[in-house]
Amino acid sequence: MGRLVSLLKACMTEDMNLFQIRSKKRGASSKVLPVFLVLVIGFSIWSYANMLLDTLLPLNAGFVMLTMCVLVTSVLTLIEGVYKSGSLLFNCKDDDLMLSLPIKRSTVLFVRIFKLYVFELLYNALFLVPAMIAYAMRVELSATFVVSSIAAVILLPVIPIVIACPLGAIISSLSSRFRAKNIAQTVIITLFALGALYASWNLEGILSKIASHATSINDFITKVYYPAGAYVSMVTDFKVVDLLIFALVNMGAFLLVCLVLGSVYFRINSRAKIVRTSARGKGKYKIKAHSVTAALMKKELKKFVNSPVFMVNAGFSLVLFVVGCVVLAVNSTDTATVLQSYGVEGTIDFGQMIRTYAPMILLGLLLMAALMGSITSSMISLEGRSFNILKSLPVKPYTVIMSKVLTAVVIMLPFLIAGDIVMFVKFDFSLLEILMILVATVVFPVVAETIGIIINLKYPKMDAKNDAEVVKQSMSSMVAVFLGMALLAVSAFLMIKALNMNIPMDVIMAAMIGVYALMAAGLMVYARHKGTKMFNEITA
Amino acid sequence: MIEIKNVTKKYGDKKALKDITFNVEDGEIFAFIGHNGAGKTTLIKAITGIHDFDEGDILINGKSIKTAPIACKKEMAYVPDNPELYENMKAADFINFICDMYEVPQDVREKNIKKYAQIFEIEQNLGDEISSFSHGMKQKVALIAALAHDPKVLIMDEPFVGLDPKAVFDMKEVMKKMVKEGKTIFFSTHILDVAEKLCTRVAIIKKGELIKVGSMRAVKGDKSLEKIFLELEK
Repeated sequence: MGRLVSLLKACMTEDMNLFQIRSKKRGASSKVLPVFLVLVIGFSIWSYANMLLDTLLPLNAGFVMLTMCVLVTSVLTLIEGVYKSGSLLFNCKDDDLMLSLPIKRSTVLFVRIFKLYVFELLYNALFLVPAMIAYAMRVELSATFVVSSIAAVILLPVIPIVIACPLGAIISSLSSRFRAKNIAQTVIITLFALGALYASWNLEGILSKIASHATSINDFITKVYYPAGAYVSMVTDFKVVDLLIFALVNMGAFLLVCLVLGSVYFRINSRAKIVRTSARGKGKYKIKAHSVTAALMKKELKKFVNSPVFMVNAGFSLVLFVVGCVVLAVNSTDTATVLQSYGVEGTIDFGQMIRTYAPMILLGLLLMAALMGSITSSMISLEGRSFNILKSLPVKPYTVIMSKVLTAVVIMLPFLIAGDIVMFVKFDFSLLEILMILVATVVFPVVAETIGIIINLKYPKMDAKNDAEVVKQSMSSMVAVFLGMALLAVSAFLMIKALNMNIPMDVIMAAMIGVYALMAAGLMVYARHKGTKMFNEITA
Repeated sequence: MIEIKNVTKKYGDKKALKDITFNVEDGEIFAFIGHNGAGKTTLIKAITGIHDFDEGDILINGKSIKTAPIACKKEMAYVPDNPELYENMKAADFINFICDMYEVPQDVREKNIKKYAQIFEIEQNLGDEISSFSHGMKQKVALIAALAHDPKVLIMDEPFVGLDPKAVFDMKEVMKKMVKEGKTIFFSTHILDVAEKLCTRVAIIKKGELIKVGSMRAVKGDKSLEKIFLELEK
């Protein structure tokens, strides 16, 4: 037991120290932005929860808001868990060290799954706690609600992880049979994530429809997803027995996955390595000169396609963007129906609205795709100790920085242009609108990715054990996501406000693109001066 | 030529390098020795422009690494102590990438990569991913990448660690040939026998301070370098 505690302690301090900032400025100022952004996200979720409560409380179904939060968070945890388990469980740099220690292999696996659990716990808490606070403020604040909610925050990540780990194992096992195993892994994970999102989307639609039949909701939810139902049961009618069953089910499931996965885990892990070494001496190569920027970009692309977690993280919002455009174009009437199923009331003709505002909607989607999938916010950290290679080369730091931005933009452009074309074909865009959209297609990613690289230069993590630690758990990627959300929210708010003031759509779009173009120029100047300084200060 | 002038490097209040001054001449193999944590890697990283330093200056063939880092780096090659290369690249792609950074012409890089790959017996593996390599093979890739652009100044941190005996021998031969062409070689090592036989001059560092510098003959006299080193370490 003592050894297990030591092992957990070592892993938690080494791998899970989310606020470990490799910066000279370790003072309070470095933590202000992340804390502020967490508060902004928390406040946004709290506000959204209150909006839901406004609709649900008159129906005496306030607990449906909690259910929806639990379900959405669980789906996100499941998706995250599947593709993070690939890195956290099957691509660990400390394999040799762990396996050389006099500890059981099942203990090593337990520690790794536990590490995944702790991260998901923090992630869940960020979404659940604000919703719970909103419920407590509007509906009830009792001792039993507090106890139930604390238990829920602690236990709710367990089931998604229990499902995610075997799925991650299957994906790793399947992909290790392919020569291009990283690409195979990325494709499988992306398909799974899209499927999970599609399912959850439909589930939410069903939930909204049955909101008017509040009394039967609880039974329904319990049948669909036990943890959500158990939590809502405890909130509405607390029983100690329910709490105990809830805890035992989760803990039992956690131990079961450790035992079941334990029998195949190390076999899958070693097979992946055998594939790598058995290919030795068979590779072909070509020596060809490139320009400095082209060579740097080629290197970045190579890194990108060889990291499934990196690809999925970056590619997901891009794939969603294309899917969104296709859905809008192919069946805007159905999309309008879906929007209505989310609780939007009234007699608005959504189909007509989508057609009228298509350029503006596309602009919003472009902005969302660019801001929500920052690629560069991990690119410095992913260099790891090989960052010293870059620093020793006769290349200006600004060239390295901008080559990373350029690579990210090049990765994004095919997806964004594909979405644009679908929308151009389906809806009637004027020539000016097409031109503005094309400019935005380039400007938005440049802004998002320059912000990303600056954030990563500010919060580098050069000692990560695997890519997931950088892409999903580092301060840099979190700040980039939160800042992207904040920027998106502000932009959307201003665009809607301007529309309400009857400012012509083309003027709003031009102004928005103009502001972002100015931001791009300013950010590049910042990257040239401050970015170079930050680059030189990073020690790997 | 490398000129290290009164270099001081601090980590917070602690001085990792204290007023270090010495030169490494053209056509010279210079050994830099010291115990673990003495400051060898810190100085090497300062020379190669990886780390800043607080006081003093370092000149590479007359150019300051502080004010003209790109010009200095163009003349240098660096082999790190632990070859943390780009694991997802093929060995040939990595070496080619380094050549791109130094803007090495196509014919020169083809000739050099072939030459050094033959010397280090890694020709068959140039098309393999670096992630499949052992430590020694990675070290060979790092050495070929460093040598492929014909550097005037070669700086290496523990270059012989992980290499097989044949590769160590070949590397020493390459170093001898380079200095005959008037190039400068500066490296850190714990293998004192190699340093004693190979180097013309030596510097010994202890807790960030240079405690001995000079020609190998002057520093060790009639004793072995190992004996001198152990005496100075007391």
